[in-house]
Amino acid sequence: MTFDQTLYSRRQVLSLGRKTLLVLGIGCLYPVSHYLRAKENQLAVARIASSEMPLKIHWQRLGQTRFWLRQGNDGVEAMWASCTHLGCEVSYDPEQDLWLCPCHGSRFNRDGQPVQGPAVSPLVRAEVKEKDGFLYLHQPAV
Amino acid sequence: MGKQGNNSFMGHIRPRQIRTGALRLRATFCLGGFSFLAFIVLTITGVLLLFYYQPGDRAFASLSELNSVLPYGGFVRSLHFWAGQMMVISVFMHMVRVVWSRAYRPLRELNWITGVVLFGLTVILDYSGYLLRGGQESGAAATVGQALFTSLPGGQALATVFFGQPSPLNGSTLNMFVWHAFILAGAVGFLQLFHFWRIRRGGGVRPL
Repeated sequence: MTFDQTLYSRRQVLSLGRKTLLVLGIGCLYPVSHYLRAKENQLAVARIASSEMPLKIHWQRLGQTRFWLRQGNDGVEAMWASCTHLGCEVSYDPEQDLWLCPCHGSRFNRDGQPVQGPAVSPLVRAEVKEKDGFLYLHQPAV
Repeated sequence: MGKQGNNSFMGHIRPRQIRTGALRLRATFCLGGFSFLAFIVLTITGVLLLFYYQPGDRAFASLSELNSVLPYGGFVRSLHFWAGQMMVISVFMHMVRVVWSRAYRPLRELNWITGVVLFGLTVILDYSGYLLRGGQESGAAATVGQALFTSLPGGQALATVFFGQPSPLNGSTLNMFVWHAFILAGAVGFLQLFHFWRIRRGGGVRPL
């Protein structure tokens, strides 16, 4: 069996490999620069179209976030669902009409006032701004 | 560098000739090269982590912020973790290969000893990285390590130099961070270069 020596030489393959590495390296610059320019302690912000989430009287979670929304008497209300004890994510249980913390068993009533457990201060509301048919939600700075 | 004589560093890293036998895949299985690749990945991702990591009480919090808030933060951290695990495994397999092909015998004996030291340092690096995560399990691991150190004669002082004073809840300290990121990693990097130079002097391994 004979090999076609002119097809690809070792030198050509290696130079192709080097070029690939170079391209990959330059391609990495974009994510790396994003990573380095980001701020670690920035507060969460969300924007949704008002029509996107029909609001009810009960709290509803905005998917993938810690924002919970409901229709209050004076417009849209938003809750930041972090336990005021050690910051675990609390969730609203409509059956018990309570906010429950999975970590240490704190409970809050529907308006966020502490009912039971280690937490003593109420849940923190998130700021809501309505503009051009969009809701802008801002994580409270505690 | 400078002169390209037989003894110069660069002359050995890129030699003009090499024995055919050294080019066979089955001579090395590329395990040493794979370990070095893991080390390069660890260095790059480690430097990226240095920008945000805070040793001490903020260790766990800074890492979970890095994971959840920073773009590509979780990816960089996972890459650092998995490259570390792969490096321990591949360095061990590399040792098994060297024993199997009897490459530890005189002429290459010094390199075998260097390699054993490198293996030890790699394991200690992996362990200290585990402590730097600053979770509860890191605290437990730090307690075990401290107890091991103190069982040695004069171990109390050694334990303080290496561990600092970790709380049982959090293994991460400034001492551990300095050892992991600078002293141990630097020693491994330097010893690896020496290791490669000795390999080439022994006439081995494919050139790139």
